[in-house]
Amino acid sequence: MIKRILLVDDSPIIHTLLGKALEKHGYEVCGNAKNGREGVELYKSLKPDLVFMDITMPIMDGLEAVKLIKEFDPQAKIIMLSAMGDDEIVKQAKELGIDIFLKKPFDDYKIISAISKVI
Amino acid sequence: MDVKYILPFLESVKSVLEQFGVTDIKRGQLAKNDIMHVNQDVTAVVGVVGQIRGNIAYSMSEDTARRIVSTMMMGMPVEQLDEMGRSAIGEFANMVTGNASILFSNTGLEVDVTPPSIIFGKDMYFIISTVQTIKIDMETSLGKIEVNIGLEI
Amino acid sequence: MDINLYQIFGASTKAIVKEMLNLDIRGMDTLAEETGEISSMGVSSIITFAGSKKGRLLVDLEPSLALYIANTLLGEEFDDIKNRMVLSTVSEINNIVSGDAITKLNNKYSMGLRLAPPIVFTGQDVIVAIPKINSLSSWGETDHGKIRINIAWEGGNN
Repeated sequence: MIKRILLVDDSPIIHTLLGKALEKHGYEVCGNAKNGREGVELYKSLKPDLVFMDITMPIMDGLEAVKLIKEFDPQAKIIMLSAMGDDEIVKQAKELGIDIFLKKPFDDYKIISAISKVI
Repeated sequence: MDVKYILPFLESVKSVLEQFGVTDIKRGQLAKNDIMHVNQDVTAVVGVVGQIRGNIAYSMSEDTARRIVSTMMMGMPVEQLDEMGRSAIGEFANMVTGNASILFSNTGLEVDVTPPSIIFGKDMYFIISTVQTIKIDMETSLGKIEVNIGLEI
Repeated sequence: MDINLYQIFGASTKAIVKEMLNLDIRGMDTLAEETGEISSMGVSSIITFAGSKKGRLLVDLEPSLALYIANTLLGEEFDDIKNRMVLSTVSEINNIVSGDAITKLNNKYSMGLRLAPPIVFTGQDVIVAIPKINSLSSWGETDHGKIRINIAWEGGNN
């Protein structure tokens, strides 16, 4: 079964870069959300195997979105991928039950090895 | 975008201009913008962080900028927008920013306004937000000030 | 003010451009005070931040370098720096550089800094000024064009 991954990030550039890396390594990007609220909605309708979640986004940020996704599905697999990653933010994200915190920038290796630890 | 987040940025321009005796300020139509193509020569941008996050750009023609500088300098004629004039526009942006901070603290929102940057140039293309921006023209006797607001709320 | 508050941005810029593009930036080891306004080389991006202090990072690229970065990352052949994706790419690079530098500053000095979204712009005869704040610039050179970063902190380097 091809693993299906949902991307949540407000930058179209990140969608393109991450999408290319994932598809090259045999994953399917099943959805692209531009903000946390879209991310939560798409999670519920698509039930992906894994989510890549940015933090700072319009409408609803990534921390709030993780909280809502975890309420809906406590087993949800989430990798946080953020430009900011200071101790305070990492702590908040970990407390919400995310699987891995990655800081941008990223290359294929960083992304693929994180995924293999989670799913 | 809730109007209460936008008002402080419009009110602050109005109240700074009023301090210099410019009172005939009219707020024009709201329009939505994607990429910002500005035919104006001068743009001042300030950022906000905290409970709201985004950027606000104030754009005007060189003529309007010269008239604002001249008004700030008690009517002294300003022939061209040289480095001195540009620095006066910077001062104007600082005053608008400071004013907006105060207006925000009155609303009970925890918001920090960041230092303004003033950008001069022709045929400018800007992106100030990953979301749609709202454009509002303010008409004054000194000329038009185009306000672009990109807030991520 | 602690010189590390300035130097950290050059280190982040070099590291991130290397990691994302495998591109070396030569130079960018020294900081020089900007005495007046800054003339843009082609495409410029500004990120402001606020916390226990307020400041700004400007990243300024020659058109050839902006196009190289966008085309390499996205696998495209853009030839117009006004293209939305080219501008967005420069914006995102600045976002990642600033995020990296600010993360380190927050961890080291507990500055509680938060980033405003990046802005990016291009045009003719572009000049950038920030009133009443002194700033330091650092220049670098790549095989595809020049890059300059300019860092300003309120209550800065004087």
